[in-house]
Amino acid sequence: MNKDLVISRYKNPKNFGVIKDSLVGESVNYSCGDEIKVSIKQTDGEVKECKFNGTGCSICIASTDLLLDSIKNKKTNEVLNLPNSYIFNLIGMESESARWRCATLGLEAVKSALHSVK
Amino acid sequence: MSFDINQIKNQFPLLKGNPDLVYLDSASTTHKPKVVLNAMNDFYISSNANVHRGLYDLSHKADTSWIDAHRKVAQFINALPEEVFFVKNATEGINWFAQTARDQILKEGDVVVITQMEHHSNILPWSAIQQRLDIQLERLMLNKDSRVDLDHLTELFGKYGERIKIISLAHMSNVLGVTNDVKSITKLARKYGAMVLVDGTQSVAHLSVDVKELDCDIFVFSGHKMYGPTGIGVVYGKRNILENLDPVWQGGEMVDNVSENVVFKNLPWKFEAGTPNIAGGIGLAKAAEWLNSIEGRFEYEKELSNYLYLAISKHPSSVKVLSQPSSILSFVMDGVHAHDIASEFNELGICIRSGYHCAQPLHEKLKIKGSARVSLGIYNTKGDVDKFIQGLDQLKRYE
Repeated sequence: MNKDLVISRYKNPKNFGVIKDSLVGESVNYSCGDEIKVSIKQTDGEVKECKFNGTGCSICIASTDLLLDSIKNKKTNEVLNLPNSYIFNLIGMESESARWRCATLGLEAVKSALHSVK
Repeated sequence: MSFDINQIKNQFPLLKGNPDLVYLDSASTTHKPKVVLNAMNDFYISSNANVHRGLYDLSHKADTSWIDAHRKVAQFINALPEEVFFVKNATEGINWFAQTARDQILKEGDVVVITQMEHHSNILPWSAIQQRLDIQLERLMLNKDSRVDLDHLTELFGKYGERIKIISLAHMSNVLGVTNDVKSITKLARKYGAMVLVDGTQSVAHLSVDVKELDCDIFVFSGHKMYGPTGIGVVYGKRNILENLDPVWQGGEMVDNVSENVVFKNLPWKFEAGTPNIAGGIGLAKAAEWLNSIEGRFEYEKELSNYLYLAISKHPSSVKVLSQPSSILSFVMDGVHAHDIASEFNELGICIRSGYHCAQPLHEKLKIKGSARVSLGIYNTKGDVDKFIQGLDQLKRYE
């Protein structure tokens, strides 16, 4: 795992915040209480703006932050079809890691937000 | 023989085969000494037959081992052999008693008292009763030492009196490591005729347990946290209580007569329906016998617990320990998630637990989102503690 990147984004996430009048999605990991809430603005089937807030471990926060970087200007359908491995690649995590659930919480929240209009 | 840590550690094949592994998660499960593994293996190799069924010699041999296993685990907690029966684990034991209580002890308007420190296994079986029977569930608060607050219990008895039928609590907290004053609780319960269940899951391997001295009505524990196998646990019940309870589980070999009148077997067999986990029981009995044979183990664990507590308290980081010195020590660090703590230690070959430890309500009461937990076993050394303390340095970059 790219730990320097993960810790750096954990300490200083670039996409932390809330967008008013947006699509909202939430995901909770009940085993540890981590929760991520994302807000997304989309136009013409494309993600235009996205932010997140919530609490989580370094992997959870960093992977959500990097994911939001990467989905801007992507087609909504493309984002909805992103596999978990996409996140693992973003942070350099091995897919069989015991922490896979930490890494995918943000993606779940993003999909939940986008599904709310489908 | 005096306590020799190297001699002890060498008896654990997994630790012997992984000399660099630092295992600090014994509150979750312990490793198994060779004598326990051999006892189970020997049963399958030389005595395997079903119990209470056959008239042939091999079956008699299995019977003898099974009866002996009850005697040994009973002896381990100072109970009579007929006062203990085997279950899957402590969780199953608590569920057994909760279901028994729902059908045979409790009535509408009664009160069951648990505590704020309970493991989910001592919360959910009681809250599940509420879906079928209108009972009240009260939670005893903790005092400044993180133990169950006896004044609060007195207050609850003042409020509800004999409506309190059952108090169900942990002997030792799986998060805070503190030991509750069970004797004072049972003494108070006697005045009002309330029954007391003690969850001994975390205590049996670390304290000398005497159920007669505790004067509890029910005591449950798991085998795998006391160097025995998984899938086996024990329920102790006072003889006069067990005698008057009907079994929850019905099936083969727990019954003498199945015709118009059903006649259950004598204690403890009426509570063991179907073919039991024979090898598991034999392994657990061996673990109990083995533990009892080790002189100085309590003193050693106490010294190691103090060593750990002092070292972590002195560490120059934001680490905050949740309670006093104990074989179980949970902590939090400013800005560092418990899972990140456990993952960092994993990279150093050090096994610790993180999260809620199946005690989410306690963490909510403490206003923390999970904690990291170090728990000691009989095989841990000061060297293990030193490596753990050095590992804390790795976490500074998260702060």
